[in-house]
Amino acid sequence: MPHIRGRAVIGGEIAAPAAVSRVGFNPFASFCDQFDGGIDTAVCGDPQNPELFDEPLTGRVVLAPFCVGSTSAGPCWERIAELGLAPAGLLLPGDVDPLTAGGLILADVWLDAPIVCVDRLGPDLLDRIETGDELRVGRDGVVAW
Amino acid sequence: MVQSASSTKIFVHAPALVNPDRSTKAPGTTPTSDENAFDGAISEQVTTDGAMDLTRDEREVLDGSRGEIPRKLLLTMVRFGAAMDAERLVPVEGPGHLVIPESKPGVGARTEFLEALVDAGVRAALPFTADPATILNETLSDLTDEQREQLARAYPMEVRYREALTKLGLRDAGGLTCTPWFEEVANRPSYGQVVAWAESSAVVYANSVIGARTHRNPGIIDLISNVVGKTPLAGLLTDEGRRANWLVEVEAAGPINGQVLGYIVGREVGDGIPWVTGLADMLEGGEHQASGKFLRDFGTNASVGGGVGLFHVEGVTVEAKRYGRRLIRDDARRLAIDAGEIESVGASLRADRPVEELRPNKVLLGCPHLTYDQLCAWTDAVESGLARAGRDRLAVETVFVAAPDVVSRFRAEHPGFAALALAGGHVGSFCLEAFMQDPILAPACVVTNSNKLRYYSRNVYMLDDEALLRVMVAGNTEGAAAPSTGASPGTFSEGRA
Repeated sequence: MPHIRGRAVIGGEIAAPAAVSRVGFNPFASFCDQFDGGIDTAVCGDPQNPELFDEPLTGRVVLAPFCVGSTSAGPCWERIAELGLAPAGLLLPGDVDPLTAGGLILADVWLDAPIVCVDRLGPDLLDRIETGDELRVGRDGVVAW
Repeated sequence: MVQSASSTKIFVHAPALVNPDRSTKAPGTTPTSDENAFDGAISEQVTTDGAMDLTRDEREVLDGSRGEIPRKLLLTMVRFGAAMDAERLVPVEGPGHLVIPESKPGVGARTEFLEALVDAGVRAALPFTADPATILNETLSDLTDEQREQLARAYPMEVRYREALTKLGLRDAGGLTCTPWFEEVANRPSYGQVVAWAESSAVVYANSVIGARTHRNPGIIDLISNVVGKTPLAGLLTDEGRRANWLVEVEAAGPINGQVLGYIVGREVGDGIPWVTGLADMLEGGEHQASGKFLRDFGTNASVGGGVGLFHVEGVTVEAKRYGRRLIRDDARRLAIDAGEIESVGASLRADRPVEELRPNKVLLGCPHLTYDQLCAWTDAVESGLARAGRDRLAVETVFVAAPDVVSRFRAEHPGFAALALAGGHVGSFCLEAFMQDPILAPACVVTNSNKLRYYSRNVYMLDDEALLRVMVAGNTEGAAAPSTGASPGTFSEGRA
């Protein structure tokens, strides 16, 4: 079983299908239409993300080259976690940015709703994993599929 | 039971103007295997294994001996620092600026969270400012009673939210703006001062033009940093983390639109740090009257197009002048931008249809908030335009927004304020971006001169200043959207920043 190891920013064990974005993942644009809740599954609402637009994200592992967006990312990640609509995990080839890290840490520390995040998985991450691949992520930052 | 902050010693706040040793390991250093995991459980070990240096006071807080809320607050900061490979936390030296002014879920903090902090006796040592308030208290002429009722239902926690934020250290309602460094607002850090700010356009201005040092903090982390009084020593707070990793050579003569150039640079460098050449003559080393606006426009749009938190302009910005090309990393990537690219990108940002086809029902100006000089210049232009057209009312509802303290000065000092109001112009202090993103409020079609507003909103179209004035005065007449010649920053938008 192929596997790679990165840094567990938010640790946890999950098994879930991958959702791969080739462009920067914008959490606010993806989730802002769903902050009122009352739904079972969050669907990516970012029309500038051709791979994930209209795709369900809840419970999946999002892979993206990096995350983009404004400093409102903190409340955004926390809210979508609070609603139980968050992705199961987020995998990144390079360093997690402060905006994303902050939002994920808020969800973990204050809501006990961790969104597993592993970064530093290497520049070829997005070439090795495709949307729909079943991933297993360990607490040690090992990703297998 | 609410405790007063002064009676509860939760965090030991450092005095202002502390100047910590900023030496640290270089960003991008390859982590050792021990640094390669710091999830919730492991991050607690950070307090004892030396991976991140913590003081005795910090260890006591993390042990929980001062309560659960302080423990969680500091744990959040420690884990935030660990994600950035910080070696330690350093004191926040100046007032903060927050991006979470409103109670809307997913945009602001949870009201219950704020109230829990208040109940625990937490309060920022230095009063902070925050982004513009909601539109709830504004008096837009075309806001219907039904819309007001819908707004009240959409923001049921707003009063409690504002009360809690005030108890946590919000300075006053005058401090609700995205331009806190303006002289009327006076939340302007000093050169080299460590602060914990959010709001992308404010962060990039504070770092680049003022030379203060702040992370590009996410919302809520901004609040936590300021009530804890600490921020991680990493990235943009360090000398090494402020060196440019992009060399951007601009080859274009004449006036350059700062919004367009910033947007191009942001798209190319992402969250990198650009060193920009070729602008010093145009900006007269930063002394040109319009240089403040140019740098503000450039930074705002570099953060919109990418995620730029700091830029240097050769011969212009403060650290570029002080340190010169030593600030460029040896491995910096290169990017060349010529006049043709600026023109073509600028054209792609402007409205693609004539005004008579767009039929805008609102003109929105002030994203980010306008300066006093810009408010005055627009007011004078509107007055002259109406006089030339023989009209006494604006043809399309026009909204100008600026910091509450700027608006107060404008009311008090500019003789055109009353005439502008009589002509139907609205001067307010809310956030245009939030206005356009609110489904209760968003007008069918808006024209503006802000690329940031265009980028983050639907049904918003860019025009240059002369075309906007024609729309305000004459309405949706033929040819009103025709661009002016050249890439001028615009007649009425200039002013100090």
